[in-house]
Amino acid sequence: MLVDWIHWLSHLSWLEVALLLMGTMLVDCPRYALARVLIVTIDFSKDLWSWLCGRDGQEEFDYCPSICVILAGYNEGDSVARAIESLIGAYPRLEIIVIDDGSAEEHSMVEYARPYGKKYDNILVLARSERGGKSSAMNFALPYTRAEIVITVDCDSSLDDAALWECVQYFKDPEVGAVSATVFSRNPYVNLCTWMQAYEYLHAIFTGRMVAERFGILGITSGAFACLRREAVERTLGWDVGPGEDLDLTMRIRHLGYKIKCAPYADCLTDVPTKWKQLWRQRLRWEEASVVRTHCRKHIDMANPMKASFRWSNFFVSFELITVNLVFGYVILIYSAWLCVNKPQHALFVALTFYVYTLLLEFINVLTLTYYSRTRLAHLTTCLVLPLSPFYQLFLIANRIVSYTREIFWRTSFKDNFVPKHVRDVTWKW
Amino acid sequence: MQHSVEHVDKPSAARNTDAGRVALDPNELAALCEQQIGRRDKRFAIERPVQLTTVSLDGMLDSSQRHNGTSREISVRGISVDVTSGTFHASQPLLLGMHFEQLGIQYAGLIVRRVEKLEESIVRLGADFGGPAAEVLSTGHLMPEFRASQMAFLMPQPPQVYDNWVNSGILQKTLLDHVMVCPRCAAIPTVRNACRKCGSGRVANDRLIHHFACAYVGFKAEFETGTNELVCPKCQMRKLSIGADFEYLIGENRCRSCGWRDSEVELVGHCLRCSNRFEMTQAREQELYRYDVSRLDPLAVTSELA
Repeated sequence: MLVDWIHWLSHLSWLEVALLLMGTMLVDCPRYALARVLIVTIDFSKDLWSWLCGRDGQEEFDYCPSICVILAGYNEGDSVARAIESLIGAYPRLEIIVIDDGSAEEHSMVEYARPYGKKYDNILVLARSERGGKSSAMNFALPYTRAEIVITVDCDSSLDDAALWECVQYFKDPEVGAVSATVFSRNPYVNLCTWMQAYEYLHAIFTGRMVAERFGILGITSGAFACLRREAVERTLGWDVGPGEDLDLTMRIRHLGYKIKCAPYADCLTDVPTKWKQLWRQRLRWEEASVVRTHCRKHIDMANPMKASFRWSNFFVSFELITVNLVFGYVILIYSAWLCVNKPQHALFVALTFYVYTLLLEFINVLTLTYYSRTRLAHLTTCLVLPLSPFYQLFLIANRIVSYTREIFWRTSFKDNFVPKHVRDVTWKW
Repeated sequence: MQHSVEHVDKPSAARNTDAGRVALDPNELAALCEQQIGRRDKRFAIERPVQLTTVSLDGMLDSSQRHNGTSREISVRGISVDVTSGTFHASQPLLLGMHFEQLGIQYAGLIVRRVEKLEESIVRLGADFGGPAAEVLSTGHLMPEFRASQMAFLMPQPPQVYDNWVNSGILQKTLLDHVMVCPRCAAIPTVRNACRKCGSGRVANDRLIHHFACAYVGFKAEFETGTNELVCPKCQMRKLSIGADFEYLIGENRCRSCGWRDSEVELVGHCLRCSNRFEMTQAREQELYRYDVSRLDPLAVTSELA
């Protein structure tokens, strides 16, 4: 079959190959390959110059603003103590606010967090009797902090020792409104499902956000570990009802004119789903709330050049996601259907061509990762699943198509149990 | 020695019974009362095994001074007992334990009034019911009592007396309650939610509003506009109604005495006797016990014998 494919490919003209790969050439090639090659080249040149000049590339942490870590959760009693323990002593001007979002008695966060609140003056534990959703739980903390930087951390996440220091350095620039930290999988090698996610996190978050930030089009901070300037959050009047509240708030901070930065070495470990079914559901929830609800509906005004607050960078944030995730997803679906119906004899060869092409792009990704990684061996081990990544991407594309279709026609994100019913029934629908 | 055993005649009142109602002739009633009163001094023969234990004036039992004997006569006021051994003297306090087939041993306190030597080894004691043992066995001494003057639950006797009697198998100890008392003086405290820092009860809560539609959470004052309606400062939604549009949240507590702010208040006790302020976690737990005894009731015994 491989020989047949090579024969088939060799009989195609360059124009035909270009036409075949046009979609990916137009979108993924510059986005994935060229951007990465360009940035690596620039950084490599800078590093080389610094090395030649004998300068030490290591920067010291010299900025120490006050920070407030918000640990908001529901039924996270088992993990909140570990999260608090990991934060105590990690930063000098630190306060922690734990919000129990109406947990059931057997998983009560208050019960575990209260002893810390009694022991440490900088830990405040607040609770409410009924669940009200993650957004309002985090908003509940805002009136009680005067810290310059607000950091949201999921209770089941754990931070690297220097993660807080890494993040806050970017806030030296008063124009920076939010910093996206890097989330890695805590359980990468449980099975193929977790391994593929670990690989995806490396590329989508570690290198992907680094590249997006360099082009000024980073539009998300992960809720698992996000650093926000309190003044910026207060100007937005806090998180809106989720899901997707982290993406939404980042876009609103961008809208106010703040920059969004990426802290690639501020590591946060989080547990990823161990079953494909769980992963499918998790991604449905994420995707439903992202492109269609946030970019196409709620923040579509960012693409309006007539608005006074219009900025091209904001436009490209939405444009990139809408094009790559939404439009490109449907194009692939339609093209695959057309190919199977009209050119079934070529379908396998086309799929093989795309497979090889995707592998090449992923390989560039791995090279980028290798250049920037501080734990190369571990990261390259995770990259051993590279040959399977095109299949994983197909899984994600299928998930996106399903979730976008559901959101476009049925607004399923507003029916998600992530938000309690009494809240989602009355929330603003975008 | 004469044993006068008198039986009270059955009252003739029953003869006048009419349709369930008892009509007594006043003369007959007066005679009946006289008989009842007169019976208090009358003695009834009773022959039962008894046990006599010496009791000190402070209520402690001397188990080494325990003597067996047989009861001879009983009245409402006293009893006579034949004892085969031991030395007794007038005014000596004793604890009497009388054996009944059905009821087991029943106890009463005695004060020896008369000691009479009958034969070589038999001593007859005449004793009145009462004394320190009777005091311990009285109902008021077997339950903890709240004394307002001391603001505490106290037992009339020292604890070692009860332990002594329990160990001797006379009293049965039953746990009634646990109460939290002052760690310093064991008096009853008042309890309040108070500041963790200074113990003051002058603590106020923040009241916040969570607006469901936009997830905004802010102090109530932010929603107040001067008119009667509440307006969300984030999404400007008006006429918010509680339950449907928003809920109240209880935020941080603020102490008006020392300015301390915390989400948690502490249960703080204030002793009503010594004014000691303490965290309730430091309060002493006092166990309250009730004591039960099978008490000899001379009136019931004589009534039965009559």
